Amino acid sequence: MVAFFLFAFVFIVIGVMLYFVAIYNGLIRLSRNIDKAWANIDVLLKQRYDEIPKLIKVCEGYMQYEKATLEKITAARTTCMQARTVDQSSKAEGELGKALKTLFAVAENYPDLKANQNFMQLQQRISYLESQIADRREFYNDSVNSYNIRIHQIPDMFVAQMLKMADKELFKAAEEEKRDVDIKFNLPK
Amino acid sequence: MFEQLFEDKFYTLAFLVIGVIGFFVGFMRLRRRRMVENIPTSTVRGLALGLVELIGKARAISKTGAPFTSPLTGTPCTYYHFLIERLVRSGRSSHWEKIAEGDSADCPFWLIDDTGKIPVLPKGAEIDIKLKFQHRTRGRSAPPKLSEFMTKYNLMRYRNYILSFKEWHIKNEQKIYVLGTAKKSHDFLNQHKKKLVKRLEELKSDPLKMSKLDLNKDGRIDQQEWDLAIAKVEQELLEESLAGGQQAESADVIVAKGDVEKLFMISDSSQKELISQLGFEAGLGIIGGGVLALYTFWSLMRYICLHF
Repeated sequence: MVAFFLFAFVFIVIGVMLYFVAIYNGLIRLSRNIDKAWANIDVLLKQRYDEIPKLIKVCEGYMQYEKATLEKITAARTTCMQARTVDQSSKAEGELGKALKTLFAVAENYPDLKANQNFMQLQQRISYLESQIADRREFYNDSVNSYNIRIHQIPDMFVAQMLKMADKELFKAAEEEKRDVDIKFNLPK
Repeated sequence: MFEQLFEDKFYTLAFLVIGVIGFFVGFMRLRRRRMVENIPTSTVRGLALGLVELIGKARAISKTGAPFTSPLTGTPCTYYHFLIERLVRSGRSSHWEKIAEGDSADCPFWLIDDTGKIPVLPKGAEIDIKLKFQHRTRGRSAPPKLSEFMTKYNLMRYRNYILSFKEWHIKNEQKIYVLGTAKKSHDFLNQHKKKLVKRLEELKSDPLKMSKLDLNKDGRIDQQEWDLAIAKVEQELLEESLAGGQQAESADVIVAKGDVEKLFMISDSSQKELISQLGFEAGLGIIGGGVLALYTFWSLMRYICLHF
């Protein structure tokens, strides 16, 4: 009977260990997935930052009276590239998004610019990148949400506490991004 | 001692092994469940390379948009798997023996969601789809469609056996769940298009073949007849690819079995159904397997104590 109890004990210990290993690996995977999701957003942001100078160059030729709008985009782009945390990034991205929206709205008043092939392509490319970025941000938030729920649920909570795992920050759309774009045309009177 | 133990307690030993295996398999199912639960669903547009979870509709990759047909039921589909078995009797016992099996795992299909589409290559995937067709009959009295299939694939020699026909398929436009690796791959769509164009050019240069396409015999090939011809050529290309076991090439990014991450699932169940099914399997394996292993081990120990 000693052999049986020994076997039962070893079997249960193996079971418990495997269970905790599964929880541990699951939490680590979730945590790494968040880092990866964030890095994947960065890849697209980088592509968008690369497109902006080209867009400004095309616009400059047609929109000599909208210098302020173009300068705002350049400044917002620089702030975005310098952002380090999720919070800084969401604020800076909000500014850039707003500035781009204003530019595209103002461009409606410049028929020659609107008809320019390069401008149309860049506008389409940037809009598509914006949609991709929005999808990836949603994915990032889903990943963070799964992780934040997991680390507060039993039994994952015990492993998370042992590993000192804390809540991760969600990407929140900046207030500027939610507001309507204020459009002012600076055409000569 | 072991010989006698094996003779007297063969089934107990077998159940012990089953219990231990079930216990570990249960943990593997638990791991799978957690993956399905924890990986958020991506959109095709926002998809990044690596392990991804996608939910969308399956659609055939073909120039005409027409899906190919499944071999047993002739259902237009994007994926199929069939299995034919014969009943073999030996003495009082009988068992089913596989005589033919096949699938279209080498043929990719589109996965389409609200944001775009991406090819999915099912090769190497764990495909969890519901059985769509099952028919048992003596070979010689099989329905015409099945007899046709048996003749085509040289299975008529089994006509005196009781045969079981099974088919699983994913219909065109059916909602599916995919958990696999998004990766860059060779340009299969272009190659597929090139092969198709070449085949159609050959067809056009053969007057005899062209005359066969004129179904209404009005002396000319109209749009409908030409579309049918294209669909037929695509079906031939598919069958050749299946027969040759060629691996399909892919577009810029494809969802397939990963080189590092081996997990690749395609299912026609919803994510919720999958999670509960995997949870049930995990629970059954861990608790059922564990209890079975402990009970059989206890039974063996008791036997050993009493007899040796």
